[in-house]
Amino acid sequence: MGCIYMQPTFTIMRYDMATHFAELEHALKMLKQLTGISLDIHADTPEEEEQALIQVRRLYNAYREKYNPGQFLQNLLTQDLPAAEMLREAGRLHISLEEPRVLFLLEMKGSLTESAAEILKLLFPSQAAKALIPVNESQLAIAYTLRASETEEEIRRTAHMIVDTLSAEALVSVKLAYSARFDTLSALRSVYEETALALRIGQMFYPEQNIFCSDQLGIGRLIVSLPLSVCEQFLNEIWGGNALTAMDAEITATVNCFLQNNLNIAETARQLHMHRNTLIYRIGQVQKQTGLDLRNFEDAMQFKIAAMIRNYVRTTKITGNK
Amino acid sequence: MASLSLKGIEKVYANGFHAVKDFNLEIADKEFIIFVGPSGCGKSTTLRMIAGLEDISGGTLEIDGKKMNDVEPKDRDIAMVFQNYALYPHMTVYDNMAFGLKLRKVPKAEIDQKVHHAAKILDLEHLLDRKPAALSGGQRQRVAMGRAIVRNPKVFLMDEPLSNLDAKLRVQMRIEISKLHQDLGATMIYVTHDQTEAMTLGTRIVVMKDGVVQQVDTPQNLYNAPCNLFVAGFIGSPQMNFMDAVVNVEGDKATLTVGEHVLKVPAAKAKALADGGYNGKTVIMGIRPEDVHDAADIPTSDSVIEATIKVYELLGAEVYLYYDFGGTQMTARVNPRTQIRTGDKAVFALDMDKIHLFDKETELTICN
Repeated sequence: MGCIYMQPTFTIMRYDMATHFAELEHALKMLKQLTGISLDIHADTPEEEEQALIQVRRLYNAYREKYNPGQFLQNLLTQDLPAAEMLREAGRLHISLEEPRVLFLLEMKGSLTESAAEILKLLFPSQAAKALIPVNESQLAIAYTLRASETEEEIRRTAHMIVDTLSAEALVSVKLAYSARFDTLSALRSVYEETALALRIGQMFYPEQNIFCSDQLGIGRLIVSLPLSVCEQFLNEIWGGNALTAMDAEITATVNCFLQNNLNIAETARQLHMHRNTLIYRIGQVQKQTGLDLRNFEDAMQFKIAAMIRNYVRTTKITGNK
Repeated sequence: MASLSLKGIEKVYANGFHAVKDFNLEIADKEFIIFVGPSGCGKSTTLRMIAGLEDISGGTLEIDGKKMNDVEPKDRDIAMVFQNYALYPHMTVYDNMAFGLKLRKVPKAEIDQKVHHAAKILDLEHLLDRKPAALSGGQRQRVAMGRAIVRNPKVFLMDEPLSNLDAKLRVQMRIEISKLHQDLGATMIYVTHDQTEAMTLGTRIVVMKDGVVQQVDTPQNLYNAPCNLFVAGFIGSPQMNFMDAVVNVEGDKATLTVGEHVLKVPAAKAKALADGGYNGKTVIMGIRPEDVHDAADIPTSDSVIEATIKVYELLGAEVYLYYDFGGTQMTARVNPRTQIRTGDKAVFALDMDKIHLFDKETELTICN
């Protein structure tokens, strides 16, 4: 009967059968590389030899799971690990807890492709094993270690570089949010939550952009912190009971263009290929419906905020995500 | 290579932001088209819609006659080069260029042939074994181009690929991209906010503002015959001089009054003003800096103005003189042999055949 003796410091290989020799030798080598453990194996028959190979491979897979930095970081991202466990695991995986880092959170249209993950590994070869964290099927996080001298501008450039490289090489549409600098991995969960919020706010309020910084979210951050009931109350004040459907698409497009053009009637009329009197009539329609005169800065600002809140309420109701 | 057709292309984001409005353009096979305009004008969004990285909200995109609106980016046979390109630091130039093809499971022999072909075009053959750290900025940029070339795409899409390079390298790379277009005979669409880049590279230029196409034309026509005030101001460096002018039409003759100066208008332009009913109205007069001459060089001119020079700027081959005229700051580009200096009272002759007149309200061109 074959058996396996675990000897953590040195190897005594005594192996007479040739059938699975190369495979077994390779499996033992891999196990030692991963864990530092050497094994002494005795096998008298080909069946025993095969059994030993299966056991070594199982052991290797079990240890690989245990020694997987991605898994550890994913746990840190989603759970509050006890400090002692965090210290122990980080030490075992040679991950420094106290280092300046920034978290990049990427979301790909559709599912995360193998090519995209491969590209990211190649972009950050020295960090890949200890920085890439799969979040779900379309999101991936990078706990990117910063150089001491790395500036905000360099971090912004890295974010753009990630998006541009993925777009050009994998031809995928990517949205990316990145955190402020943080110094300890124990903060990873809160940093992730903040960055995920930035990604959500960015996509909701600034969908024309691809990159969002978690400390530059503008009024969007204020809006998402409001309870839905308060938002709806505000919308009722502005648009009455039919807040979500009050404006038809044509009026909405006209108003958006007018706001984009800094309340300039001539420029808006020119861009929309309409007579200025038609534009003024439409602005009058909005005033009738809402009491807001969009030619007045304060009213226009109120309308803009209401439109953002309406967009937020509508999206939240569709996704059920608050 | 390929032709493209963009019909009534629109981009409206979920928040109502209308980024691109009714974009219509036919791009012929092997054309080098430039999208130019200020930041936020919708040029990159349009390029990304062509690539498939953004959904098209309205209109039709065709490549070689096939509708592409809902085709995945990887199936559109395009290649993109961006501003913030990165090379894989641990890979050689060869592997950097081959990587995209390996991802697509292209056979090894074919990869090898394509990489060597691209390296030859880009003069990178002697650098194939080097790592990115051992390359200069220009060489790295060429490797980034090489990654697009090896794909042998129908259309090259470039989004401000030179923006991160220093001024000297940009000029050099501009020449190389132009040569690349000739060598490959490829259809290229190139986005830039830099009008100099647009003028030097493109066979045709699309000028955009606020998501709207302002004018599509050759560089020469854009410069000589802008269709509105925005294009006139955006194309050309230093910028065209603009000033308010009051029109006075008498029979088939017309004059423009700018401040205290009365300027005679050539017959063709006088007719355009009379036909447009501009008599007594204020229009915007535009004149390029090179059409304002040191009067000493043209002693017979009768459209002369006098002004005090505020700044004298010698650029070697030419001199820029800055002065006030009719309440606005003007620039004259004159011969470096001029004797005029800062503080001098100078007399300038305006080449009235070259002036551009714009409607003050619509900002559209009355005549060029």
